[in-house]
Amino acid sequence: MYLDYIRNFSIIAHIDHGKSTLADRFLERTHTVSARELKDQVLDSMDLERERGITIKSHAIRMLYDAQDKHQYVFNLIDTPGHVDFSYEVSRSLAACEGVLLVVDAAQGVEAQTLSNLYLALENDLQIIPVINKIDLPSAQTESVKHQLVELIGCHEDEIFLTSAKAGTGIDEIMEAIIKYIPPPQGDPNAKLQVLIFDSVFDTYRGAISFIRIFNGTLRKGEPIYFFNTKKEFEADEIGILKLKKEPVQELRAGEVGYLISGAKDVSDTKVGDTVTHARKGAEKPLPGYVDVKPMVFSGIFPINSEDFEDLRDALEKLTLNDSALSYVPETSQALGFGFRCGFLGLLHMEIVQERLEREYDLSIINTVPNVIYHVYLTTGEMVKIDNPTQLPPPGQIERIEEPYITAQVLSPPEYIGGIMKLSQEKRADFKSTTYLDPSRVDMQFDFPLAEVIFDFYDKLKSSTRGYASLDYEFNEYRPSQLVKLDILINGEPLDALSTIVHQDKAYEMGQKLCRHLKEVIPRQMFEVAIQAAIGNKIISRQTVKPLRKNVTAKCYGGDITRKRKLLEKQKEGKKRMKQVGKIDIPQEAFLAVLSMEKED
Amino acid sequence: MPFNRSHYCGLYIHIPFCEHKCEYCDFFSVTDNHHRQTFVSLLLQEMELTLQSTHIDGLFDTIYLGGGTPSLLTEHEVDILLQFILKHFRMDTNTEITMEINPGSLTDKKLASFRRLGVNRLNVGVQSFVNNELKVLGRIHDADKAFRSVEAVRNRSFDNIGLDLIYGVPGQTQESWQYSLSEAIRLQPEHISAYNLTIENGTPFYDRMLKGEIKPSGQRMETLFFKQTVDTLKQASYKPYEISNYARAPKFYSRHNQKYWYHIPYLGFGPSAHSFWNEKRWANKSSMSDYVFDIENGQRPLAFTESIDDETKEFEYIFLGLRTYDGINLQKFEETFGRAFKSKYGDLVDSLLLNQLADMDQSFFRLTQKGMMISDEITPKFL
Ligand SMILES: Nc1nc2c(ncn2[C@@H]2O[C@H](COP(=O)(O)OP(=O)(O)OP(=O)(O)O)[C@@H](O)[C@H]2O)c(=O)[nH]1
Ligand code: SF4
Repeated sequence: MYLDYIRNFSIIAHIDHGKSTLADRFLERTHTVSARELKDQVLDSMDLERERGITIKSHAIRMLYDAQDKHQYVFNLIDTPGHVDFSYEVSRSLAACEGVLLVVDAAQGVEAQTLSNLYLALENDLQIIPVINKIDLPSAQTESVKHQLVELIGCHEDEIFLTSAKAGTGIDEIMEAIIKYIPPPQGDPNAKLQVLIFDSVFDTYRGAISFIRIFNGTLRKGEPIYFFNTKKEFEADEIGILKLKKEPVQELRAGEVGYLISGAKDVSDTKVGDTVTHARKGAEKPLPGYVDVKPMVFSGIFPINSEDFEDLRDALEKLTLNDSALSYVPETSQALGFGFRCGFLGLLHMEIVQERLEREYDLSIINTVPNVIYHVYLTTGEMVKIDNPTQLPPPGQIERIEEPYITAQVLSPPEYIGGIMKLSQEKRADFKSTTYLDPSRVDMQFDFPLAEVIFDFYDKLKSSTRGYASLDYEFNEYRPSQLVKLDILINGEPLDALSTIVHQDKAYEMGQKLCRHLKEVIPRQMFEVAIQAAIGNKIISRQTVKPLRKNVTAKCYGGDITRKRKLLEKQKEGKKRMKQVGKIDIPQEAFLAVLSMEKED
Repeated sequence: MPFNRSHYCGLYIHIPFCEHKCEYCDFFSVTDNHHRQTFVSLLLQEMELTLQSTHIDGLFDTIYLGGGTPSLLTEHEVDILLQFILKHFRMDTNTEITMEINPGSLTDKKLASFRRLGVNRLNVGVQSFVNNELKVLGRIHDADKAFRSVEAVRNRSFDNIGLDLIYGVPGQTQESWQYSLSEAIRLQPEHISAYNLTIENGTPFYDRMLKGEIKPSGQRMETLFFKQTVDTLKQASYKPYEISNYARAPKFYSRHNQKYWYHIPYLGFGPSAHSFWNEKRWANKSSMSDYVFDIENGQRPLAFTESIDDETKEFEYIFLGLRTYDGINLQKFEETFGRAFKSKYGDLVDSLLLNQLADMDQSFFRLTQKGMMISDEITPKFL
């Protein structure tokens, strides 16, 4: 049976533990790619990803492995994104596999993402092969990492594979283990068609390209197909397998992994996790596990030059072709004019979008302080979801506000427990539990308001633990909190783009910090600028930027009026990079005040 | 002409020679005498080239000999120059002929001859009456010499004299500035220009500032100096009429400089000189060798020409107008630009008035002293 010779698996690892390097070795050993072809790391294709060292978009690759049993096996290696913002995508990629290699850095040991990925794999009932990588490192602590793994997954020490992906040692053993321990896929090529989309990308020429795993039935080129979730019908224009390039085939059978091009224009038609079946005589039910991922973090994105508004819209539209998790709706700010309120999976996702807008689309944008979705219960009994602080109803109409909490897992050497506890308290965390994975690693669980984590928690955690701690989190629930809206007034006018929703106990300090920071970044102007922080009608802090005292050149250079005029024009040009709010010129940095301010202290 | 202002054209001649380059100087001038002998003849050739290529029919009523150091010219040279001008340009009988003079290179004899040749207004580059400051500035004369040269000028029956002073000199104090102002007042010139020192890129001052050897006096001090200047000179009955210019009476306003501020046509000759004519502005090259080369090859030594479109002209009109104490003549503005000033810039005008940075009556919109101090901040907002 052909199924016996297929293995579908993933490599899961904490960032930088060597996932890509190990994948490269497999590609070489199976002659899928020659060492020369192998640019650094084949599986990561976007520049941004490479720079950040994070695989954002997962893909798959098919290899042919001639095993010691003289049979040839098809290995489908399915890559997974490596950041908590994208954990749903990871879970779908894992759903396409029967097993995983759990790779842990011999010098770093188990980290938060190792755990979260492991849990995702366990949820999907996958076979786990533990691998310790980088054993060549002088700082490798292979024995202690072995203990951690034994503790964690209950395996035996001798079931753990040791490798140096860099040097290429231990690779064959792992490849044999894949055959031995990871079960072949199951499924019936004659049953009704059930195809899982585990990833989707947008291609300018081809439209949406889906990466798929066939669970049941057989998909043939040209067949009409139906997408359960979007309820759309398309045709299987092209199907194929994924080598280094796409290779079209006539059919894909149960158990196989490949791609599908269907005429769907963008990735919102081919959502990750959706099930595809035949348009006629299709399966009754989709595969389980589909979730419509919802943005968790929101921020306003405004063009610095208002003329760029349409370009920004185009750019966002193009980005969503490839990123169904990004949402945007037009927003008007008194301060910043026309822009968009965008929703992101998390802070990293937000930063990536921002960066792509600036780099790939050459736009100058201001993005406002990110916030979460609040559930606001009104005195009328109604509940409204607020993703923009300016839309918060007046306090009199509010019965209570609930904010999203996450469950966070922090893994760290025990000596940093004190620091982590302190930081967590500052961030309004509820401490849940501490578990020692081994004497050198503790696993601490907290419930955090998501709003606190999206600011700078991660940076602070890293710095207070010298980089040793790692963090992972997932959404938990909405809980009531004492939240207030903090407004910033410039000469009495609210600067809506700077309004934030903060916890009552932190409002005063935050107001002060913000005012002080704004005072630093707003240059002196024609008249005095009063910066105030207010909760409702109550001013809680004030700073003033004194008026400019003198800005005049004395002489007009004889008849050289041109020179003088050009100087003034240049001055004006310089101001263009600022936003005019009322009569006040406000530099861009001001709108990021909250973020940068937090980073400073 | 109560304000000594007319709509007749002006003529500027740039004499680009100095005995020594001042530390702060940003004007085009050279200290070598390479082209010194032939310079006036080059000037005449340049004027001829311009007269051939441009139709010049206006009536002129100012000649301004600036520099550089025009007082380095010989009697003979000034004679030739003025003769040529009289012959080739239509001159008003009542022409204001100003010459900038340097107290360090002046003889009594020359003065007398200049007066005889028709120069009727002198602008003396005193800059300061404090020796230390003169040294810092790199001037070639001391305070005593400056004082005596103004007296000498008076004795040669010049009845329209201007003094140039500079404030914001590194090391200057309010007391020392007060002293210079008082000495100037004691000499009773008809006109005083008090410029705030600007440390321009490319000057020795600039380099020294970067090296930290000299320190600009800073916003706070400059504000004080400015106020002190206005107060002191007003008290001595000098009337401020532009940010840096004061006169004992409106009839002593610089007729020539006002042409720059009110878009009245002027022609400039000599390297780096600027012209404004028929809604075009052009400038000559700021290089002696380029200037010589072009003229010897029968070409005008132009660095650039630009057309001043309506929008640009309007902006210039505003920023120049707001440097004057009269301010912007609202009726004239409307006539020239086809739209009421107030209706076009309503919001900005309101906020300036509200913040006492400007005031307005039936006929004029002008900056207050407070506004004038930050006019470079205010005027770009009219763009
Ligand atoms: N010494 C040593 N270094 C290794 C080994 N394997 C990987 N590395 C290095 O570790 C770093 C991270 O390796 P990657 O393969 O990019 O790690 P990754 O898990 O794919 O990282 P992300 O794509 O960011 O998730 C690179 O600099 C590799 O060269 C190994 O066995 N030994
Ligand atoms: S005398 Fe005037 S032109 Fe000559 S160097 Fe000094 S400041 Fe410059």
